[in-house]
Amino acid sequence: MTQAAWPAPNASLENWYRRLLLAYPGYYRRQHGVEILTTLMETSEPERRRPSRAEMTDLLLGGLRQRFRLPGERPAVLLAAVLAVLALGGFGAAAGSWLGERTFAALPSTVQVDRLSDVIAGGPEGASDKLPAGPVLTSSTAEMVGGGTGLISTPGWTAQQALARLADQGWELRSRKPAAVTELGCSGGFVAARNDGLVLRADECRGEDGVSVKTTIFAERGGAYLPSTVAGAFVGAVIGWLLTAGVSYRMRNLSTLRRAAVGLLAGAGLAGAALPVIAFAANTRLLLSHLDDSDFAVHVLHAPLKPVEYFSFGPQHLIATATATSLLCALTVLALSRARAAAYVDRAPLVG
Amino acid sequence: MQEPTFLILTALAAQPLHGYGLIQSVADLSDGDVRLRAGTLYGALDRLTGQGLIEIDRSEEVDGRLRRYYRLSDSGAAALADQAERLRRHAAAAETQLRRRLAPGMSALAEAVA
Repeated sequence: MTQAAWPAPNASLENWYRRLLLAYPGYYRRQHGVEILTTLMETSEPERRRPSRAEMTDLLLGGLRQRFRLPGERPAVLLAAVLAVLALGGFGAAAGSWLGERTFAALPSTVQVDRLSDVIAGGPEGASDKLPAGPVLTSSTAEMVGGGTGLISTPGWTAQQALARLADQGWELRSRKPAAVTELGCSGGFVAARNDGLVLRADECRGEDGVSVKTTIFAERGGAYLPSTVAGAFVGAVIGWLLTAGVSYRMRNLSTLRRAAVGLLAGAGLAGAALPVIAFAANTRLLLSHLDDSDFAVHVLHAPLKPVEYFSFGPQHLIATATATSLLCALTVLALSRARAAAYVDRAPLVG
Repeated sequence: MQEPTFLILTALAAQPLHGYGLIQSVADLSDGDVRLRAGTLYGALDRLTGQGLIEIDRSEEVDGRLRRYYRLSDSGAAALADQAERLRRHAAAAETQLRRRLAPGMSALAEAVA
C-alpha cells in the first residue's frame, strides 16, 4: 500500500468518528484509536460528512463490548471478575441501602422522646423517672432512638390508658401481642405507629415494685429503600466487572514485577472485602426474612459499617478497617495500572 | 468458530493485512456475503490476539494515520487448518446425503415396488 492510497482528510466525518470512539475505554483508544479511525476513513465514501446509522450502532456496540470484554481466556481473570462483582455488588448494595435509609422519616429528638415518656407514664410531668433518651445503634438495623420510663408512679397505670393518651398525639395501635421476654424481664407491650412513618415500640417491664416501660422509636422502611438497594447492587456489580476488565487489559503492558504487585494488591483488596460482604449478605438474609414484619426496626444492609461490633473476634472496628484496607488496595491497583497505561508505547515496529 | 472469525483467519493465512485490507479480503473471500464493519472487526481482532491466534506484524504511520498489520500465528494456522478440515468433512457428509436423496419420481416408484 503506498502513501498515496491513504485516505484524504475529511474533518467533519473524522470528528464524528472521534466522538463515537469515546464509547471505547481509554486504554483501548490509546492502543487502537488511531488505527480504527484510519480504517473508518478508508472504508468511508469520499463525500460522506457523517457516519451511517449502521456505522454508529456498530461503533457504539463495539465500544460497549470492549468495556465488558475480559482479555484472553484466563480462568484467574474470570475468577477475579466474579469476586469483584460480588465485592462491589455488596458495597453497591450497602451504598444503596444507606441512601435508602436517608428517605426514611426523621427520628424524634431526645427531648421529644422524653416528652413521649411522660405521655406514656401519665400523671403530672416529671412525676415518673425517665430512662435517658439516646440513639440506639445495632449492627443489623436502621437507626433508632431509645428511651422510656423508670418505675411509673401513676396509680393504676395501664397500657390501654397510655395508648389512649398516645392516640391524642397521632399514634395508633398497630399490635398488642406480648413482646418476647428480654434481658430486662419485659414481657408485654404494644407497637404504635404514626402516619408520618414513625413506629413506637413499648416494652412493659413488670416487677414487684411496679411497672416501667422501655420505648424504642424507629422509622418504617420507605418505598425507595428496596429499589435503591437493588440498584446499588447492580451498579456496583457492573463497576466491579468493568474495573476488572480494564485493569486486566492494562496489566498486559506491565512489567512482571509490577504485574505481580498489582495481582497481589488486587488479591488483598478482594480478601479484605470478604468480611464486610459477608456481613452485608447476613443482613440481607435478615432483611428478607423480616420483610413483612413492621413491628421491628428495619434491617439494613449497611448497618455493619456503623461503629458497632459485628463479629465477636477482632477489634471493634474490624469491618470498617477491612473496608478501608480493601479500598486502599483497590485505589493502589488502579493507580499502578494507570501510571503505566499513560506511558504505553506501541510495541509494533514502525515502517513507512 | 464463527464464520467472520474463520474468514478473518483465512484472509490472514496468505499475508499480513491491516484493518481495511482485512475488510476487503473478507468481502472477496465470501463473495460479498460478509461485510465486516470496523467495530466488529476490531472486537474480533482483539479477541483473536488475546487467544494467541493472530499477532501484530508491523505498523505504518503517516500524517496521524496508522495502519497496523496483523499476521496469523502458528497456533492460528493450526486452528484454521482444523476448522477447514472439519468444514470439509461436514461438506462431504452433506454431499453424500444429497446424493442418496431420491428424485420425487424415483421416490414414488420405490414405494410402489416396496
